[in-house]
Amino acid sequence: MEVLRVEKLGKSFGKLVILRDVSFSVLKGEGRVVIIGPNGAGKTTLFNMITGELEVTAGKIYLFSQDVTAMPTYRRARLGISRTFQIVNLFRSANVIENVLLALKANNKCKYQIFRPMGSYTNLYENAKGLLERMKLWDKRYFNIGGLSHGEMRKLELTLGFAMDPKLVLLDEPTAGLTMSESEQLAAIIRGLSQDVNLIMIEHDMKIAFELADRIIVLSQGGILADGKPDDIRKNQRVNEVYLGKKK
Amino acid sequence: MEYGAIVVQIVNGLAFGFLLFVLAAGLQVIFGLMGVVNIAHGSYFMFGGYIGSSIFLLTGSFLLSILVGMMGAGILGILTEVFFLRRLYGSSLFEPILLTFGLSLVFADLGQMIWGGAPTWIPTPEFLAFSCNFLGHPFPAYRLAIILVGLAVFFILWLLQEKTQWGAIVRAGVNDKQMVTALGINISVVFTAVFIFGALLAGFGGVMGGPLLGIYPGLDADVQILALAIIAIGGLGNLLGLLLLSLMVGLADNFGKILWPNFAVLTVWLVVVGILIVKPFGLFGRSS
Amino acid sequence: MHIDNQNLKSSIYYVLGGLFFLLAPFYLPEYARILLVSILITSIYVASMNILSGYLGLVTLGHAMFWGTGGYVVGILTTRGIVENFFVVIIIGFLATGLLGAILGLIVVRMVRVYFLIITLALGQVAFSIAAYSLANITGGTDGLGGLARPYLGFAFSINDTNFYYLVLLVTAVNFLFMYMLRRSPFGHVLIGIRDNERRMSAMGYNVFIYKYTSFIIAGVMSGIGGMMYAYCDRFMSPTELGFGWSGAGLIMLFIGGIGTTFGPLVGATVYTLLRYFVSVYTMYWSMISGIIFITVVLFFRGGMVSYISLLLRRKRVGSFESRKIR
Repeated sequence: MEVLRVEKLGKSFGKLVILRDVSFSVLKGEGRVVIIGPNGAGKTTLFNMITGELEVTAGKIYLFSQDVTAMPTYRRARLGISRTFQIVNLFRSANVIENVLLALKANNKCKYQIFRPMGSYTNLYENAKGLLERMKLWDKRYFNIGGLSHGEMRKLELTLGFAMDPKLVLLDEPTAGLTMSESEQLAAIIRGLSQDVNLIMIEHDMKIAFELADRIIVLSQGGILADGKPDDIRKNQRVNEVYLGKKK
Repeated sequence: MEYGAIVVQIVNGLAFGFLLFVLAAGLQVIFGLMGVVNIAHGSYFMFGGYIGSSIFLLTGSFLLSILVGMMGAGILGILTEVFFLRRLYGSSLFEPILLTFGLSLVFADLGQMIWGGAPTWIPTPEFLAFSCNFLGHPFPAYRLAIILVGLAVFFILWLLQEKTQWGAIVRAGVNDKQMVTALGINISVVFTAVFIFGALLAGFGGVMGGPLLGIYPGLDADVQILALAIIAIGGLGNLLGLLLLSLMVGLADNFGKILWPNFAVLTVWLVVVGILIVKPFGLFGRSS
Repeated sequence: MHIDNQNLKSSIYYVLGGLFFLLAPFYLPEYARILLVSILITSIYVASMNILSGYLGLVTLGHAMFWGTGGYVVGILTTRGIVENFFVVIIIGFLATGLLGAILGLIVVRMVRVYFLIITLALGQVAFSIAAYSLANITGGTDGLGGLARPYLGFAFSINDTNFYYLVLLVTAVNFLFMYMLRRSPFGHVLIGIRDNERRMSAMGYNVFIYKYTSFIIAGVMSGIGGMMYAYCDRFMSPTELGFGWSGAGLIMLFIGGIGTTFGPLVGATVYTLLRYFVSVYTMYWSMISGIIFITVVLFFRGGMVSYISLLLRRKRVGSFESRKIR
């Protein structure tokens, strides 16, 4: 079963072409797909188009075998896709547990309820507790976002991405700004979380990318340069040329 | 309405439109560059007019009225930017706007305190105080003068924007502030300069408009609201678009008052709302 | 969840507050009671703006049009003897403001921030102009509409000043209860989430438009309720109740009190109304004074008085979701 299929996808702003003719597909249970590429290659743009935040200029997008090219973002989310953001994008008025609750509510009928207090939905709180304990953020559950370290914010960002039991998760540079050891910790968490979920990740850190990837797609100047197993990519000459010195 | 009368009304509408353009141009640059909708901008217009009228009473010189009126408006602009707005850069999108709203309240009452509640006029300058005759309809040459001056202002602004380095900096700043700072230009100086320039323009418009509109409590709100509508539709687009829109609004307002006096305000606003429905980001603005 | 000193203290404050309001007609001098009625009615208006501007973060400068619509519904219906019964009038008012909100909301809610501000301003001015000029024969134009009666409740129950106070208190209390529940409900949390990060809410699956649209209508109807009570109270309606001035005043009150808080509207309405009452004795330039106060609050007291007092009492952080703490 295809989780995602992207067909001849293109994006331009007037004369400026960001993406052209991008096609690939991801099968259920395929393993972790990592997208790498130089800056400006169009990786985040690709993500934004898959989630629906950016309009498609050309081509089609299929999520779980459905044509979603014209579907608004929130409907796509309900199909089972979720994402995290390159720049930490949390809810700053809320504390940690409230952030998670917002994510959990998204698929729950109670989100339109005005007359019962949030506190009465204990099952949601139980869910949140489970998630936060797994991420080792439970102790900080009443902390406001401003009181968290960058590493903790990244972990929370990740939590929000996985909170709703998605079938496909898009992670946009989840380790950006983290130290080496923090990155490795996060990578381990990602490995654990992505057992039964399809994962597509944008990553700049080559070590982590190659460690986690079951499949690598290389994006350069708006097009796919290479697409295959990590070992093949490592040996690929064109990739080496583009990435001179950047690969480990 | 017969042909001659129509032409007269067109001239009236265009004159008003040019005054609005002068106001809107300043507003637009401030909005584009600093992201601030300066609700007090109409107050600069009104104060320019008030000060101009007082100077005219004292000296009888129209030219002096313009100069001092502009200076007065400029001073208000400096006060606004330096003492108030500066403290708020980097905060949420709305707080600077709210600040200018508070200031507009203060300026409005200040105007009433100093000049009283009765409307003031600046008499038409003598060398323009004649009537042209067009197909049997007399109309004051002053309105034509406003149109000509307005065109001149447009060209000067266009030149500044397109052909000078200063204009290039401002245009770059609208697009990417960080770039401009990275190039070593002190962006806050640019902000202040642009703000003052906009205020001066507004003051100029206020004095020029003196013989046409008069100056009265509530003038600030009247012109401000129309100018806001113009930049809402015109967005961050080009100067020419702004001019055309201002002229359209001026004409709509003028003809509205004549044809449907009870629904005059409605005509302009329905046009505004209509356009905003179809294009929520304005006619020329790009989505940001 | 366990009962602790904090909860006990809160309960005592609520009881004291309740007693203050319930017994007011008995110990307050007449002018003070009239002020209090005005404050209560105004707090309903400010609360309605709190939903849009506080929880959702959509600052509006045209909200007075709903207040005015409610007021004119009362005015027109009662002065022309079309409808006498209070309850029927209220229902019609609900429908009118609800319809207005539903129609305008479709247009307005799609707009982003600054454009939303401008278009609400524009629509408010249109409303003002319609009342003042276009429909002047119905609304009395700029002269206003006078001679409204007190509410007629149907059965032989006459409304005197004391009864009216309790009617207003009841309406205000119900409204406050609604706002209180809204703040702590899932719906309310979603609104604040949208304010903080609309993009992420969409990405998580929330239909942001529905939330904005519904809130716009709710806020409009609530404002209309305030306007209706105002019409019954002052027994006079004029187009200024629809205009930019009153919209702006609502925003000022909201900021003074504390935007986004539960008690903000009441505090803001109180401070503003009292100040205006006492300042107007000395000068006619209340507008300027309110502008100065507003500027001061925006510059120095971002969270309004509620935040300030909260900080003084060292209670929990204001502005958060105010959800219950779990073990």
